[in-house]
Amino acid sequence: MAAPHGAWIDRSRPLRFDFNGVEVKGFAGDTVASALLAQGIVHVGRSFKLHRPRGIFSCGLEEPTGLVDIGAGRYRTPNTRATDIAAADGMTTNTGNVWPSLAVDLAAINSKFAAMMPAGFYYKTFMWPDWHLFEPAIRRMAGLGVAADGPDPDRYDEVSQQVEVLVIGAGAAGMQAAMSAAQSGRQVLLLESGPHPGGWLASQSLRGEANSQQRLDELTRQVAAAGVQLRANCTALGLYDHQLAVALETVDDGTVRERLWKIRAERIVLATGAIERPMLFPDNDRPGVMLASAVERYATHFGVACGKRVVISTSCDSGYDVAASLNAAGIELAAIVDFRETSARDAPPGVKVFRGSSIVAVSGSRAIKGVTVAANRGGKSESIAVDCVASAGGWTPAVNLYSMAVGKLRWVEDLSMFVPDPPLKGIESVGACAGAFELELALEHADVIGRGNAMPAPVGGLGIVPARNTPTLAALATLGRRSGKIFVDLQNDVSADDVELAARENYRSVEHLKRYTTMGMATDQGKTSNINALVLMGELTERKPAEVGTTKFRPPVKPVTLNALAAGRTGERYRPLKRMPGHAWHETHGGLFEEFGGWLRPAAYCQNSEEIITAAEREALHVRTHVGIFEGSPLGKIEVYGPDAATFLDLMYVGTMSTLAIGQARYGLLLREDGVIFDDGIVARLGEQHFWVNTTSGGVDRVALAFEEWQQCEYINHRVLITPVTSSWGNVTVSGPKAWKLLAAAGFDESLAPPNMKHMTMRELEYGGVQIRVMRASFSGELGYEINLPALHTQSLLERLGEVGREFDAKPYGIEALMVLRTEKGFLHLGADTDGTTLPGDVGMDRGIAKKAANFVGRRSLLRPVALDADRMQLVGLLPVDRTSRLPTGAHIVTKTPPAPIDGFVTSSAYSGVLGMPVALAMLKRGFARIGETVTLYHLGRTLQVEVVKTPFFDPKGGRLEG
Amino acid sequence: MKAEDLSVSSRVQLSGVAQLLPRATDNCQSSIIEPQRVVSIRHLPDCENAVQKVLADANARQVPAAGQFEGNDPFLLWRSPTEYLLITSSDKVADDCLAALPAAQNALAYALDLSAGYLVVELQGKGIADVLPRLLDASAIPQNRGRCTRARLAEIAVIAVRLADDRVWLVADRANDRYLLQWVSYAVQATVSRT
Repeated sequence: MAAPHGAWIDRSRPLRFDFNGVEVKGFAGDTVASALLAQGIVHVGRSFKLHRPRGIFSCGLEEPTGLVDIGAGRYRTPNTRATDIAAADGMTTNTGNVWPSLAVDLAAINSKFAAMMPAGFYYKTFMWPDWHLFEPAIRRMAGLGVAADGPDPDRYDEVSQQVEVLVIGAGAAGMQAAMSAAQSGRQVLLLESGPHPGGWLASQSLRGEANSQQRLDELTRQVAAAGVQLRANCTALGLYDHQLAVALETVDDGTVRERLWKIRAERIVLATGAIERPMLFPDNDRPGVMLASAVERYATHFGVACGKRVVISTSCDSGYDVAASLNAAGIELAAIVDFRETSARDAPPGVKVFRGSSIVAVSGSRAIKGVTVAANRGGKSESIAVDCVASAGGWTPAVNLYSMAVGKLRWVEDLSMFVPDPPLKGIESVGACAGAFELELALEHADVIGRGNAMPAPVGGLGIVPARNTPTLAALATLGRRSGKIFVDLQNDVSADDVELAARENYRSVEHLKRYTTMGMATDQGKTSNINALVLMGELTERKPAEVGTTKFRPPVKPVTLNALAAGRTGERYRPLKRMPGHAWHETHGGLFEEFGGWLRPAAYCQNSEEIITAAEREALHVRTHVGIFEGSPLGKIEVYGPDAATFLDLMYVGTMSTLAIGQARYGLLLREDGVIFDDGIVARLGEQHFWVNTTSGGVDRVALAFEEWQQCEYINHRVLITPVTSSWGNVTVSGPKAWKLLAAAGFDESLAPPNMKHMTMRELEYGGVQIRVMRASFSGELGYEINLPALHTQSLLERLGEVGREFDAKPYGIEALMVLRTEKGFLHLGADTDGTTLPGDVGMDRGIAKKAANFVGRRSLLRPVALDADRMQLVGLLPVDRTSRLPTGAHIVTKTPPAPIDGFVTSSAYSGVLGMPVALAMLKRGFARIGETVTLYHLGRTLQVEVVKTPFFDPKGGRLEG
Repeated sequence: MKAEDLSVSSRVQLSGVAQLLPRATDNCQSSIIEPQRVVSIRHLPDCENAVQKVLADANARQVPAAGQFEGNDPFLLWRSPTEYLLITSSDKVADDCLAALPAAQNALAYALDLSAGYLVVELQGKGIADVLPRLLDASAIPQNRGRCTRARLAEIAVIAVRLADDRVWLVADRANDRYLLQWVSYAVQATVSRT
């Protein structure tokens, strides 16, 4: 259509793009859909299941059928709405699920067997003999597009914003509400999903109703003058707690593709408009059947006549408005087919109106050639040659966001729609999304709401809209043959017959109907189908639509690219991985870094092309025979000070800490209230009122939080200060028979020598000009020194020990070697040997509990019957009977061939170089009483005989702790 | 053998994080403030007086109220009802504070040297108005000079300190230095893209 039609396109800026290999011409401002329609391309896709030809159905984000892949290679966005994508010069668009081509699609043979493929077809048919036999072929056929074949190279942005009033939707009511709020002195942000404000009002210019263009221009001017911030091309995707709205802005400025806005607002006004509801009639899915409002918008906004000869199928007065618009635009109107007997509006002069009638047939496959009309009471049908059907079955307020905010809906019988009622605190609805379709009343309401006052929404303005709009049996009988399928959900090929089948099979809940038929799923989430489906469901189950209800509305309102949600959370920004202060030293020594408890740590120092496991075994053996250097900086560290620090720690730990002398250290378990072990570590007393608490690496945050919570909520009279200091202190551990020799050579004070410093003691002293804290402790069973020092000196100490250690063949060892060493000693590793059920008694650490005078967290739970169950699993050692087979971690200890209840499982496993055989730890039912038994291990179909033994496997008397 | 003094290693240089800082633009410059001393001053709820005297000696005229900081090197930040952070470029100020509130002698109020555990990143320029909303929730951005907030930056905790309209510090756990700087860089680049 020639100018002035097409207010949104710039005819001075032509563009070209590719659609399935065909060049399409358009203008800046066109959507992909409008450009295709302008070029006369109505067949743009194939349906999901039956591969029926499909065209453009709507003019917005509700589009169910006009789905295309945009871009190519890494830039491809599959299965997206042609109606919601701006056409761009040089872009590539393709139909996704066709082969070999859109015109000749072999899978279209499915439609010949449509009668055999009702709802639930897959569930019922492909169960025997095995679903997996059919799965590959079905998966190949499924889907509506092709995913990108590489990482998305586009850039995405995420921004947080605070506003006083957020208005979502810049139609007439939204603009009015925004303007009124701004004039009341509020800071207002107005979001508009499309490129231009105006909404419904912007599409009314053709027929000149109520001076729509002048009113729109005036509103736009006033909104700007009031200081409202308008953000176009920005769709609100979801509403969350505490007035948080998330919106997606399409930027595409060459640098950023999309921007995710997280907006907190004191008040939110929803002005999201309404979505037109289609009429239901046979073959209503043919390319050329469109929503009437879409036909009107394509003409107004893009200057596109969707057909040369149009018939309007309606059950709502708005169909007559569209007729008037099209008539004014010079598009030939073949007829209006009104489902109702009467209407409040008149048809344009000379246009025939079929009252009380329905379309009962559509001819044409890839494009419409005509329709057949019959009276609902029956009689004789009449054929009309048309190439476009404009379908106007009423309106559905876009209540998605309101429902996400847990708003209730009310069914309005006269209008056959759900409206928001009552308003939510801080979230109100105006305009069509509130059910207000009379412009003057809607603007008055929006003004009141915008100013922050209360007023019930003036619901109405569409005349009477019947819920049912399907042709009667009498009308269908006039055809004299079987009628075509009536599609309720165009995107998922769900027909009225499918809904009927679901009802027959007693699916009464609308949620079950959705899952069984797939109605309302996928990219459009049933925006154009849900109301028709639940009306049908209601009829079939003798319920009113209000009783049937709607499915749950969930974010996002429209499909969103995953990268827009990730918004920069890629690579090193994906999640925080802490680095140790000695990271560079490990790099220079060939450390192979892996994540352990949120820290990047060397798993091992592989030599040549050594496997990690081989390196770990080598390093562990080296610690047993020489000396090893290990960085333990991630070890959790908490300073606990205060007059009541000792009694507080008694309350937190299973063990008693108050009896520690200054300088002594003790291992302790921390329990949850239910008695389950949640962390462990060593507590050292450095002063009368000062304790140094070590937790597991990665466990310090939860331990510090638990300390704070108990101190603030339960032990409130305890005068204690808890300060986590993990990152401030580095930790270098030296282990092995030559550990002290190395430290002595490095100039450490003689007071640290084994004769002068006992195991499980801690000293504060100065070394190399800095204050350090040295603990004699060992997770390897060898003589060990844990040297804590200010983190920024860690690198320097590692370098010095490495250099001095050459004389003793000192070598670094990684986490994997540490695991070998502690397994040989049978030392507990939290998270590996324990799980969410492990109690102290299960790991042999309940000795002394009965004698402990103080209460402690979790104590009472240890007296529950389940905690005293004799059948509980207990931590034991395992050795293979053949002394050579490795015991896989996770392997089950069984009495019968699986599947069957298990007796236990392997929790830790290693090959002990020093013992020359594999060793393992396991949780085993009544394990402590079964020492000496031979049990069967089952792993991936293989069995292995293993012996239950006591731990430790190595150095049971602990003599090596002294070096 | 007598031990030689251990040298202080700069994590910024060792791990190469300085390279992750975004390129300075007319609107936004970023830098790592080093060396910087960070002292945690803790006190039991009824022992604030001891702290106030020490802080007065450190030229902090008054202790900051919740969500605020006082002074200008040393900066004294409110961190919780029982904790302040003293941040200073002066070793003497930090050491004096540590000496005045020795942890070993007074468990009612004490100072701990956490310098090695914190990293301070400074953002400066008019462009930070666009950068900060890309790093922090808008409600957590300190808007006026003198305000500081504990906030979530992507997946880590930071303290945001508004030193001036166009100058902000982000104080974070040193172990997260690379993660923090990667995000700062990404956010600054986004604003460059916009301009």
